Amino acid sequence: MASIADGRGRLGPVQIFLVFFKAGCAFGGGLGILALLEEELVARRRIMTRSDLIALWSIGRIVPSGTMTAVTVAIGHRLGGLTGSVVALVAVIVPGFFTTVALAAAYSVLGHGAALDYVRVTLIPASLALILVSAIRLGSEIARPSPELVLAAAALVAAVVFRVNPTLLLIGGGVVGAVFLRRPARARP
Amino acid sequence: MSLGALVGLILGFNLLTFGNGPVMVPLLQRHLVETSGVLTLDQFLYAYAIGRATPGQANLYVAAIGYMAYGWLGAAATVAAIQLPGYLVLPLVKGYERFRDVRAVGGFTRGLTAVSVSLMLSVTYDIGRDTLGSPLTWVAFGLTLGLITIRRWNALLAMVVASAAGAALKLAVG
Repeated sequence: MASIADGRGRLGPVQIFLVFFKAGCAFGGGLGILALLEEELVARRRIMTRSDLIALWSIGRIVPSGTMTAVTVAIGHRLGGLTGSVVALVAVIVPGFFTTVALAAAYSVLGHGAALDYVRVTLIPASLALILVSAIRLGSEIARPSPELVLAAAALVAAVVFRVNPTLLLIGGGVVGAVFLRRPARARP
Repeated sequence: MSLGALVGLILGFNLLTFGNGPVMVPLLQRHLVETSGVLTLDQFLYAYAIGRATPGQANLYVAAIGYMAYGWLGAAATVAAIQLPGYLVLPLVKGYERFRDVRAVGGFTRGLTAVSVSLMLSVTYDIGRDTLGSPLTWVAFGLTLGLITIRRWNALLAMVVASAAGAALKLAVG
């Protein structure tokens, strides 16, 4: 991962706002946002690599806040310093915040209506497809016979079958990695 | 319950659950509906439902809770309570940058990455189990998947087109 102090890949406040506002328009929660950030920052602008994004997401998971909040702050800070982090956070919140409050204000009208049913059979499953594509793309980083793949498979079983707490899984995975997945030291010439 | 108490409650639960929106739900329901009666159960469930149905982070449903209890000020204050702890990531990333070349830290990151990919797939599975309940939902899902992976469409455009097709179908079948 490039250093936070690294000047490469820095963006102006307006560009940061646009990138994160677009991501904040994603449906499907944090992973929907991650999918759009992956497309915008990794695939289109090539500002960061997939492994950068996964590393930030991993660190974001162990921060006591919403994961995407932490990821947004970290990327915003990397792209534009403290101002960038504030701009990114505001931009990613705005679409959901105003939509949510508007719908909350319309509770008496929509509370028992069918409008939300349409969202459940249209935008939500469409977002799920986007999330699946993103998860597969990010998973391609480890999709080869390797100790990481074995660890990932074990973690998947633990998460889906045994419903192990995600934070414990991450910390456990990190400890297993620190012990068993160290790269060998480079041989001296 | 005062606005300050509501913000404190959400801040505390957010830290306790590591920002996991769904895990906060039973805690908030108990305190806001059963204990203090700030919201009715219907209002609370509606707030949660619109949080899932609107764009952005799923835990923004607290904005609806804040708005229903204290208006715009409540919405802004509750959202600030769940967003500001995100800044704790900066010292963590800085520490990671400093020690990333240590072999054990490199191994820790590789382990973390492997588990992260699995967690993404497991969350996708969980959301899919909740979301893909009727044949109609599979239309928007399959169409979006096909347009992105086979036709290489822009993700947002694919979502909009697939959602429109799903909505038209729902309108047709009733």
